[in-house]
Amino acid sequence: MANVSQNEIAEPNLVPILDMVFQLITFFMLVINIKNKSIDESLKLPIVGSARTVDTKGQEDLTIFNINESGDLVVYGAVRKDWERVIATEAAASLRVAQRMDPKFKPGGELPTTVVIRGAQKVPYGKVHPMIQEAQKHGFRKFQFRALRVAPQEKK
Amino acid sequence: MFRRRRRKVKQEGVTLNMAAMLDMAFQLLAFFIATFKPMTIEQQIALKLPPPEKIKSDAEATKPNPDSPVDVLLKSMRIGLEASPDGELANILFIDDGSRARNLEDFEAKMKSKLEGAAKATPIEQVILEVDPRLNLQKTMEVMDRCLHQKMADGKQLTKISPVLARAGGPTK
Repeated sequence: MANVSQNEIAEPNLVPILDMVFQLITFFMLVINIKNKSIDESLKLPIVGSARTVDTKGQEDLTIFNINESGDLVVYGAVRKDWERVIATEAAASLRVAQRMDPKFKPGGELPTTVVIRGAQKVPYGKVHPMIQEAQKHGFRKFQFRALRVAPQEKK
Repeated sequence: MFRRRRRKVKQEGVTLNMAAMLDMAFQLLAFFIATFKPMTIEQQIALKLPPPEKIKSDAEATKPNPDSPVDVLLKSMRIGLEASPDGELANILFIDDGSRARNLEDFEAKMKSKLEGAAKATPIEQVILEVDPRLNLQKTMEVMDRCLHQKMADGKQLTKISPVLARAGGPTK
């Protein structure tokens, strides 16, 4: 056996644990959803048993309308009373996307963007409909109503 | 921090201190765990919503007018959704024949039989929901969902559903 000095201490190999920690960090970094910022998670969405899983196949351009119980449009956490202007801005952005995809696309045609309506369960439809009408007026035709299949407290 | 040098008889190597890096990695990990909030998995009801198109009357359906723009005249089924003052669904009315449905199951069954009945004469191509402005979104979506379960005369799923706001005082009689 080799001579060992008296002050030598045991030194565990930290490399495997460091590898594992970095893998965990990578995992958490990947699962962070940046899009969450545009989604108001405080909304209680309607519960519809046969709603289908969202599948945009990674191709669709989405515009999200969060409508709270008072019928206000919430954009990035801020209540926007000027929702007509917000919709007009989104329509202009969608028009630019459409013209980039097809240079012959003319204003007034069917916009490629899907309007996602995330409305609270209790919001009266009378508050939601004017926003749909305004979006239709600007050329939006594809709409998605977001819902949950089961109430969150029933999830296991 | 101290630097330790291990003396060996013939061999001298450099040992990196991993502890500091591990501390930092654990702090990062703690941050990501603390801020991790898995998103609720949402589902959707997807609709293609053009503005409601003109309604074709029974007379127009049986005697088509060559001058009328047939492509925008659709044989429609009009359904009125009445709400109670608290926004719940009070009544479902089939406006064309005045019949009513007691609940959503009854509505689905009646709608199915009406669509099948209409398929023999003039197939229904769109459903217009005249929604009471007070009705909450939950109930509106439940009715839309029941409509989407239906099939048209050609066997395709009914997709042309146009919700409109009912006039004050309830759906058009």
